[in-house]
Amino acid sequence: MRGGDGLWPRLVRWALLDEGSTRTAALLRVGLVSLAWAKWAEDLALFRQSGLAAHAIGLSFFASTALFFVGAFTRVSGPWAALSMLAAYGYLGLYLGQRLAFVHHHTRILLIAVVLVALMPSGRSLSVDRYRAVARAAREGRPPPPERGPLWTLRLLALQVSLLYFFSASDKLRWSFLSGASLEQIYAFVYGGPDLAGWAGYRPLLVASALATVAIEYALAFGLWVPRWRRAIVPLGVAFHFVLYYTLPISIFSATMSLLYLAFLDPDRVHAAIDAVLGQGPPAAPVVAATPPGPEPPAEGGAAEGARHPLTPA
Amino acid sequence: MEPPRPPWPRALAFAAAASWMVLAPCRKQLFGLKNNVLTLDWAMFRNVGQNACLVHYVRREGGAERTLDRFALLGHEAPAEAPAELRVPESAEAARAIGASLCEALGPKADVRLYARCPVEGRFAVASAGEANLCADGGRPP
Repeated sequence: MRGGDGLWPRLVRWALLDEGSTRTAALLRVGLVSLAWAKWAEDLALFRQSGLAAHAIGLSFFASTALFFVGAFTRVSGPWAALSMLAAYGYLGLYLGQRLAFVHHHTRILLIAVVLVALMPSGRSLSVDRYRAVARAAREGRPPPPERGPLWTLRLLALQVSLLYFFSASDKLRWSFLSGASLEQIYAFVYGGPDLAGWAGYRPLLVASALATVAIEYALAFGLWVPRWRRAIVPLGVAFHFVLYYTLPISIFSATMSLLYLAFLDPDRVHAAIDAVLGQGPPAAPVVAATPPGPEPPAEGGAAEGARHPLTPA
Repeated sequence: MEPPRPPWPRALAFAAAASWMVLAPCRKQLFGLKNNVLTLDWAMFRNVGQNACLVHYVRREGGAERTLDRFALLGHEAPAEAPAELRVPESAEAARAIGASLCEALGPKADVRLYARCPVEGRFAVASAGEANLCADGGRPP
């Protein structure tokens, strides 16, 4: 029987003590390193930088992220990659003033995510480290180590995503944005015209787009936390970022935010879904009703028995 | 049986990180101060296109107006490949200067008019409504 089931003990347990599958961390590891390369690799290449420090940071970035990507020596390569990116941000971006490449909210969220994932035991799944651990266990005649680890940094990542949406939406609560004028300026800057002011639907479209942007961001800020809403909210968020990716020059940010939705999904259900896709577990359960099946999920063990869709409410 | 306690370094790190995530954006977004090394904001697209004017040029011939493709006339295949000052003039004067280039391309007898809306205090205001021929007298408004 669990003791201390008030709100505060449950919150502490959820934030600091819960453990779950490490496959989510592994997926984040692979995805975020891919995005880091897409964003920074060319800017850190030999031909783009000058000076010993810049070259050292570049080499460090490439070496550490390559190891981290494949999940080799992740307890070292993860923090090493995070420190390399922090060095790039601080020295190249802030100190040398290469702000366009390194200092931007697009890169900040990527950097924060990499730092948090570096603190996760992401090498316990889908990695060279995992391969070696399984091989060692087989040689020693014992079962492979469980793909489980603490979730506290995953909780922080979810909190960061939620706060990003909240602050972004709140910043847009000004007349210049809600009237559509800011969107019009962005349109002018990115596309250079044509001026559609003569079209009757132009002004209403701008206003509707502005209001929809704010509404969607607030919905994402809060709705991602509600399990029974995620089945709708996650596709909404992905669609929102797809539209931004397609229409505006914010590709890395859009992809990063969509990837980070993984932080909100139950890691054990993600684990089970991957098993189901690989044909290694029971078939995925049909869509379940919104009503939770029981008071609490199982406290022990690995992936939940019976694969359930990761977006199914808890 | 008492519930397990989280290790204090983890609790401290979590609290510190969560506090930073909440408070760091407040410096700029709540108090209007500049960011420092430790703070950041999530204010997006605040400064994009702040001064960008929306312009289009027409050629008047026989009482009718035909919209001109300023990018093609000035030798660019697509707007994305044109320099920023051609794509997004930041003032009526800059837009008239583009008009002068169009007049050079079309010849001195062309009648080119400018329609422009430029941002004024965060809102667009009409800066030119085609009242003057840009190819005559430097395109100064009457």
